[in-house]
Amino acid sequence: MSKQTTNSNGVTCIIDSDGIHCSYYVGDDITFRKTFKNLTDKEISRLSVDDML
Amino acid sequence: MYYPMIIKSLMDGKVITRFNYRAGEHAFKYKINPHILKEGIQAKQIDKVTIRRKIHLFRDKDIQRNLKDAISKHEFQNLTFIDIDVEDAIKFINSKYKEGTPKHTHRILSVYEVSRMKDTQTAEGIIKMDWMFKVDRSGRWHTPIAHLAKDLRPFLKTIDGKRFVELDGACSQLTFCHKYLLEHVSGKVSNSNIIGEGGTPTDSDNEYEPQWGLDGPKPMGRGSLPSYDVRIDLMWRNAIFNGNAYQLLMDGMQWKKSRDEFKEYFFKNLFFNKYRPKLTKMEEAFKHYFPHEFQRLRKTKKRIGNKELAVQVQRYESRFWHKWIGSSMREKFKLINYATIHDSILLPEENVNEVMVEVTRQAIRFFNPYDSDEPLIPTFRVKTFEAVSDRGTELNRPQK
Repeated sequence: MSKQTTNSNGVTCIIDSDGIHCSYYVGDDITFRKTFKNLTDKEISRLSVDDML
Repeated sequence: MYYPMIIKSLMDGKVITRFNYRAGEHAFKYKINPHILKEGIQAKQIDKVTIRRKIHLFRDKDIQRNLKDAISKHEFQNLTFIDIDVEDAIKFINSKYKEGTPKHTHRILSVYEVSRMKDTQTAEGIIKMDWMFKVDRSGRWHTPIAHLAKDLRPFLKTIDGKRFVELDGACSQLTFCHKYLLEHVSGKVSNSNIIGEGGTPTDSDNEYEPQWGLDGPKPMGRGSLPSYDVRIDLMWRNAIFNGNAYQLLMDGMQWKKSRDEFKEYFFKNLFFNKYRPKLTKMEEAFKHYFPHEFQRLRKTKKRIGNKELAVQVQRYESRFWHKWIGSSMREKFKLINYATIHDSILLPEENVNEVMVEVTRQAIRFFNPYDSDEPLIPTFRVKTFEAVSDRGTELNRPQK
């Protein structure tokens, strides 16, 4: 089972048993991706381009 | 007010257990039952009509907030005219990705989510839908189409079976950023004398200090400033509007890896990285070749931060695609199905040429708000998804 959420900064996270897979579309066909192990709902809602670098 | 009901429901369903209760004290502790921890939470159909209605109402409130104007409503409606070849897409996913891996699972889920868009209904005054729709603070729309993996785009079609192609602007982030930096760091271009390339930035370039509002920089009012000089790196400007800026930098830096790797490196080390006194290699190179654009970029990052810069540039992008092009689509191409994917637009192949003429016309207006003898003309390209190769990438795909 997985759950998808997009926060107000445009970071999309898919949460599944492997972790929290986050992506941020920069533009011009480039997406920054990162997987986090543990994040609270509040931390997910605050993710931004900064965290994806 | 629903809190005690939720607790009771979780206890009745044996999801949680209450313990550590002391008579006379309002202190309760709850723990998740061991079988839940072991087996995980299972999805269950909500049968109770009142609860389903409450969920729809909650989602509808958020959707209606973002669909206030006719342009947005028209674009939203168009999303519900899009479908996907579920069977073919799933076959493709199964042949390319290992079952159980995140890439496989996420793709399967997104295919089903796209397939549910056409089932959207408006009933009892609310929009009933079972797919993601969110507008972020830069104005970008997050929809199943925008989040569908690129290798699944060939399976998209209109509800009457027409295949899509993608129309996008080459180096579009660079052009939007250029416009933003000129308008917010250098002030209104109408007030300034654009002078050509050459020389390095001098102290006089810093004389003008822009006004910065609490929620980000505000454009200066027309005629509020005396005339002053804005220095443009003409080679950079020509390269971004001709669509070859990345190639120019790759050649200049003798980049050996792929174009996409370069673009990622470029954004991570120049455009959207944090302001730091010590320059990155990419910043050093960019400063060497394009000192004026670099100075504006640096000044902005120092003032508003990299995070806000990204939002501001994307606001320009959203305004252009969702408002300007959205308005054209509604007024001039009412019957053409389309979907915006952040900085590009999906269109039926048979309509792409007529829309491209309009998109270019609007882009010239967008990037040249003041009369100019030599207007800036962005480059737009069409990507087709006619065939899917063994590796699942689009064939005939032009480089951006």
